[in-house]
Amino acid sequence: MHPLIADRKRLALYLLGWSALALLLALLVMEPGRAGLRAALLLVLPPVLVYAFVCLAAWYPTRAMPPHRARLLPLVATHLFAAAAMAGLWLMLFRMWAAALDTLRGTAFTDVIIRRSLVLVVAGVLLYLLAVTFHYVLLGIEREVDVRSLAREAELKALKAQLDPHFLFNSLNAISSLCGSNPLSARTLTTLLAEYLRKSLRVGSAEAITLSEELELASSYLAIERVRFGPRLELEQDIDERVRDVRVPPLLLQPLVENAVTHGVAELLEGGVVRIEARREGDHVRIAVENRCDPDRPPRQGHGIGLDNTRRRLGAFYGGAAKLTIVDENDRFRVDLTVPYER
Amino acid sequence: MNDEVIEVAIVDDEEPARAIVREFLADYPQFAIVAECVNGYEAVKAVAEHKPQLLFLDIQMPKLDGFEVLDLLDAPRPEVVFVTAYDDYALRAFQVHAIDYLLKPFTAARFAEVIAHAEQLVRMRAGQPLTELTSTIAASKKPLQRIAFRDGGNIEVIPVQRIDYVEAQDDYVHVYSRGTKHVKQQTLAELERLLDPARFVRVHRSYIVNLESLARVEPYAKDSRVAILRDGTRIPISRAGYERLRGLL
Repeated sequence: MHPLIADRKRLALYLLGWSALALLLALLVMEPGRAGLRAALLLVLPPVLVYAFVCLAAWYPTRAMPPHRARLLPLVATHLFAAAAMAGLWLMLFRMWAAALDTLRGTAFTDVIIRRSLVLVVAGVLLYLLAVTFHYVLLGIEREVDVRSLAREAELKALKAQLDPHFLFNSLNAISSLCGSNPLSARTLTTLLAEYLRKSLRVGSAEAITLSEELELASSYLAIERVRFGPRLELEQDIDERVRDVRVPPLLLQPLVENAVTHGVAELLEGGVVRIEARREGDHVRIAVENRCDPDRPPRQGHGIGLDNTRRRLGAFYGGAAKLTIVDENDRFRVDLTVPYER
Repeated sequence: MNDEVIEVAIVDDEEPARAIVREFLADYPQFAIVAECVNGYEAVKAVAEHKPQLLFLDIQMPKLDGFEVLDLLDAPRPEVVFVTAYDDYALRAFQVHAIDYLLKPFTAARFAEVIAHAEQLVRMRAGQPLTELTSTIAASKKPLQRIAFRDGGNIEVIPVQRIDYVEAQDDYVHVYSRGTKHVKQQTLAELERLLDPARFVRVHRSYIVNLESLARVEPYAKDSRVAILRDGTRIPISRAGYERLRGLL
């Protein structure tokens, strides 16, 4: 539903704005010496207020064609075409209202309207385009709010993810056991864990980090898991040097890598590879996280919710310019992120 | 008799986790490790081969988790201490009569407690197995996602979505999957309770059918019907079974 219709106070403000426009228009159609301002307002105000509601329809095309995604030509063409149609409707509104007033009150507004048709049509087109602009501004504000709240949410989630109790407990257990058998490894693992926690806390509150930082974080995580899983967990990275500086939302890859381990490799007797790939493809960067998985796994369990979140974060951060695709094959699971090549 | 060595198997898919049990256990000469297993399959085999009296058993393992391992063991099964990083299985562990539940990471003191308790129970119960629950899997709350079968040394794990139908045979169930029959000691009623009721229907006193495998239902004689599966198998439907089926379709 349109946000203005949902909120009475805002709707009142919006209509007040249109009333001011009606006043302006009344001054325009007023013919010196013939009708007073009151009569002109009577003629102009009701159709303008109806048109105010009609213009709320601009909500749909603006949403369907956000400026950063749509091409300029189709965008302009669509809105101009809609504006022309709306202006026709607007002129008809005036004609009908004028005719009604003429029969009810014996005025001669129809003549005025016919004489002022051109001015009215131009005004109708301009007002509709104004409404389109207004809706684009609305959309921008909304996106801004969305980006912020999603970022905050991600931050919280990241915090929770860092403190995934099982990840921590398992790591602590590994440290505890290594203290006896291999104190040196115990020390290394403690350092790895501390480093991972410090890094993720630091980037968790940043708005964006470089892909390079994000990959480092994922590697730390996997290095810790590798102490537990041993040779069962293999890592492969294939990173295009040119994409290292690309900006991404922090901890974007974290849930993907975590899934790859817990739902993928950990469920395989003989283990498998988690592969992270990042390469430039034209004006985009494709980041893939792929893992082997059990062909007998129950149909998509935990994956769903985490990936939905990632998808929403991409949407909030890149505004439709990024996408997430899933390749769910028999013994392979891959998530492809395609994001704009922006540095 | 009381100084006889207690044989132990350690089951965990993570080496560090096995290492700490091994290390702590070294302080107790009355215990001897006879097997270390890196997954559930190895555990079932090792228990059959070495017949240890005590198992240190991880729960989260690939393909065959700790509870599924217990389910596949012959009676009398060894005493069990669960070792896990998850505290959400404690109730289930209690229901399958585990001796104790060690939460990772644990201290040597906590381990000593467990060992004392285990030694006492193993010596006390020696030769007189506790009354088994019908199934250790039965204590789970979520619908079953896979079933493990054991035929001698051969273990097979089948995801439930691959089951076509199940037939009751006295105390056993015959589970048919893609033309192969798997046998398990379990009652049909129990299995029915464990399977997802939205996908598996008890169409007859002796049969459960996977809706995904059902091709059509045909009338058969007066007042009775028969289910035809995708592979052509015909399964009788009782009147009550038909009501249940209709409720789902």
